[in-house]
Amino acid sequence: MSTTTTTRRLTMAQAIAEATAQEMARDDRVFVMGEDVGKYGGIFSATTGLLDQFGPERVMDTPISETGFMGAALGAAAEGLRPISELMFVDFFGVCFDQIYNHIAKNHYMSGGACKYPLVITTGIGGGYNDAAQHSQCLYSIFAHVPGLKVVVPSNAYDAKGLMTTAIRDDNPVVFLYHKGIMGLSWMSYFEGSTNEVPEAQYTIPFGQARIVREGSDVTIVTLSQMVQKSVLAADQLAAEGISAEVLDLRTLVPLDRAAVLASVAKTGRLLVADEDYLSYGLSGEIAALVAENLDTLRLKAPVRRLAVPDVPIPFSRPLEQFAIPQVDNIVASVRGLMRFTLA
Amino acid sequence: MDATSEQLLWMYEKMIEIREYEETMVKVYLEGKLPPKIQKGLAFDIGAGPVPGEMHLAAGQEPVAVGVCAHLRRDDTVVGAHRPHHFAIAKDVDLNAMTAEMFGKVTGLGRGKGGHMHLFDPAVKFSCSGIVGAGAPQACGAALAAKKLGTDAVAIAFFGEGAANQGAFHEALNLAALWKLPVVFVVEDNKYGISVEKSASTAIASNADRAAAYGMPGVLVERNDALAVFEAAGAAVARARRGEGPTLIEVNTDRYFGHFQGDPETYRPKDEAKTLRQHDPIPALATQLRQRDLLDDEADAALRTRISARVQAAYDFGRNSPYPAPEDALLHVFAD
Amino acid sequence: MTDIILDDAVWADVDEGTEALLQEWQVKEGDSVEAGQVLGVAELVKTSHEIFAPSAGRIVRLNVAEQDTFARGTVLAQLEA
Repeated sequence: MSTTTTTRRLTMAQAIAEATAQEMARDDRVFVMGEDVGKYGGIFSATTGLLDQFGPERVMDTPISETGFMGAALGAAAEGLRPISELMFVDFFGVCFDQIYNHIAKNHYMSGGACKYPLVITTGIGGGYNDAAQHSQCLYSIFAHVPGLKVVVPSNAYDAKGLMTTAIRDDNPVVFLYHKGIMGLSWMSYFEGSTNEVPEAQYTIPFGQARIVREGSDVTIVTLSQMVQKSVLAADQLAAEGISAEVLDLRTLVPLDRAAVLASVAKTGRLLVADEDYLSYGLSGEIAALVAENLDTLRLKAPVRRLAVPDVPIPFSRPLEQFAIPQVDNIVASVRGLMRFTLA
Repeated sequence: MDATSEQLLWMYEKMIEIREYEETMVKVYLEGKLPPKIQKGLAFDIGAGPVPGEMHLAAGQEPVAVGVCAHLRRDDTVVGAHRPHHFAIAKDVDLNAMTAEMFGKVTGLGRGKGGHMHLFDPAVKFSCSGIVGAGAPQACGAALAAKKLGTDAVAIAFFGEGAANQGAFHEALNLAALWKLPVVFVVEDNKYGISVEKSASTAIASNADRAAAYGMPGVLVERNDALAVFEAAGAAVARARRGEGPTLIEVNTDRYFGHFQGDPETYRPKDEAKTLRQHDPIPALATQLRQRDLLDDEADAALRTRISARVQAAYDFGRNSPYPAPEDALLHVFAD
Repeated sequence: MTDIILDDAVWADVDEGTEALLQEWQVKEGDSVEAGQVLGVAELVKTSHEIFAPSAGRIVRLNVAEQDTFARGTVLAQLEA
């Protein structure tokens, strides 16, 4: 019997489905619920193949009743089952957010640790394909803002499988947000890099560990999700101009790898946060605050710069959407701008 | 309540307009989205082409729109859902501006910001949204306003049978009955909530049976037929205008295309749409019109030519209009 | 030599000129296959279709690479009895 681990290239969707299938095979308590997760395999292919493998008792198509099935996920988790509950688009969180932020997030705390809720909420995020204001948001900041939810945002297939396995095994509520534009769907244009080598065997990636996707010395780009792929393309362009950009993929927002952010910024002295969520009151502000709080131990050569959606709903029309959502060009321009500074 | 000749002809023409609009969109939507003109490695690119994004077409569901809207005035409110074209056309939304909106042009209803699921035409009190169930409470609000302002305007909430399992639906129904609001809830049962059949999502057979639980009459229209819808809607709208409160109508209708364009529809029997088209409501109404001497071959040909021209003009307007400037994305977050 | 193509019926309702995407091959050049065996998967618009071996034999050539698109009637691969 061979002990070598084989790898093959998987799309991020395939990686998520594989992680789920392997955990479901390993642990009878894991089951999936959501809209169109069964026969359809998930609108963004996150549950493809699961119904055939595990049957309708473990892969359950729900009515359009988010409050109903999110609340049911909580109740089932309280009884020791391990539900994976899919919210089709993160934009729909409004119809069930009470169950998520007042109960799923808080019950463990309010019970003084007595009750556990081992559940995963998977959801599709992101724009860039003209799905307009109610179907294009990222919103991970909103989930990260409420204490009690772990927040995971993979940028590629390899990470997605490891992080999803960790999420399912975690005894806490985990919100797993996958960007539709990097799932490797055959019907949506893509950025290179999200489809990559994934081991067949199971593996985990711990939460709270950011990853340096590309080393650099002149500027740190702190980023996540599809924006990682855009940042890598930007870094390639910048390298040709003699600018060395380090791309740091956060991977999880809760827990957040603060040490990695600070170490990188201490090294380069310049920080750009590239975020596809709204600018104000979110992730990019959090990273900027983190650095500001540590100015006694690191030195900045330039002011912090944040690139994000400029506080407008995502517009439908192509030129408007391309303007609102940060593009590779915007990242390049922002970094060039940062390079013009060399503060004491 | 019988339809007048004018109403019959209006419904017929509107159904033809809707059908032609949707059938045209099938082709236009695909422009630029298929290989070899798209990114390598894709079979379809949803964000490419002149009409990008999602597209939900209503061919087959025309009777629901025309049967209800035949009773509406300009100052009555219609709130639709993610499959809105037939309601918009039946409510006399500006067809050119509606089409330009789907092309993302600055001449669109929303200046290109909303797109196909978010059409707003305040001149005819039409709006729609992409969040399932969200329209029901909003229609209640319009009805509440009519009551407070002392008009006899009514509000219609259109949504699918899938939405009837969403919390907002249940809250809206109770509110409407409690406050005796002049609203009519119209459930379009096209049997599928994306891939899930009604029997797999709803514990009872007909949402009309839910109405009594909320304190209002429930009417089931079992045929996908404009006159059947007309009759049920007429009674409901009249009831609302008299101040007697809300009604729930459920119509069994047929969705000819997929949930969205590009939907592989693997959850549906392969020839189901072909079978459904054998009961096409448009020729059925034509037969009714001919029986009443309201239509003959010549008149039919003439009106179809006129309608084709109108639809074509709308698509041309959409194509030829300019895009907004990119920085326009920053405008209209707040009113001045 | 036998030509392997995507079932022509699959193109019936599709506009002229539309190409399909070769998603993946499940065999390599040199493999022996049985009649009716699934050799690969193609996607046309948004529907997946399997590519079948019309007869038993050995795969001599794969003419279209994974993630490339191809037109109706294209010889995707060839097999030798």
